[in-house]
Amino acid sequence: MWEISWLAVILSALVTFLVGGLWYGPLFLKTWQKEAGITDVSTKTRHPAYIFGGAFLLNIFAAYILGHVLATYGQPPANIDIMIAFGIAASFIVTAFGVNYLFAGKSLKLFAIDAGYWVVTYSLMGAIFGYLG
Amino acid sequence: MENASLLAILVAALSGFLIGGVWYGPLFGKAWQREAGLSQEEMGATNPIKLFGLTFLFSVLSAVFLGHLLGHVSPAPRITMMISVGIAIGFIIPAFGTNYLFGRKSGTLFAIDAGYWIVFYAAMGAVFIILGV
Repeated sequence: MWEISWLAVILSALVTFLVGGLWYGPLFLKTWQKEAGITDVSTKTRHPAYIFGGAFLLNIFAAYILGHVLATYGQPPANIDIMIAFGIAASFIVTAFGVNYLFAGKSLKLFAIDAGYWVVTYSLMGAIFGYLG
Repeated sequence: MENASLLAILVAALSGFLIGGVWYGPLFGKAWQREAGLSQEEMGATNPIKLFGLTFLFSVLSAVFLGHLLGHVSPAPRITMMISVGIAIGFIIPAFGTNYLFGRKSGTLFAIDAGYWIVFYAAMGAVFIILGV
């Protein structure tokens, strides 16, 4: 149950990163900046290495745990992997974001962008584990 | 589809909800408000019925899916707790961490919100152990 493909873990973390580059780049950067109240100036307050490095480590960790969860199901077929990964994002991550965003008075748009990102990336991670084992 | 009893689901969601009242109230309310950069006016901006109704709905959703997942495995109490807390640590916290890094949120805010989800999921796990899934 801890036999996890490192290739799939690293690919998953990379895909999360690449989708993030698109999602918070060409796709929704302007909306996200506006809704999150982040100006171009304040995006330079922290060293990019800290932000990207930290995010990459977190993504590796999450992908590793996802690989473990999928392995406990006994290597299910790819469509079940995708369903489980999607389910984790939709039922645990999105709901947690929802609660915090509501109390913090964040806009529905910001919630949709951030929640949508995790649903998409987890589905892709499920697919990677599904097809690479 | 294995599903938890409605009673266990509602109690699990309610326990997380009540902990939220203490966590974001007497415990860390002041620190959270400061770190999230919310003024007193902004705090009261959302209609309380909508705020508490929707957040409770999100809590119920997460409890439904946690109960569903646990019902699949029917684990021993120790494993139930491990799975519940593992979801918070393995999936919710890395997602928050990533978004908070890119959102230039403080480490304090991250610790308050991340800690809340660990306690929330530990409480849900405890309820499913006591009431069964």
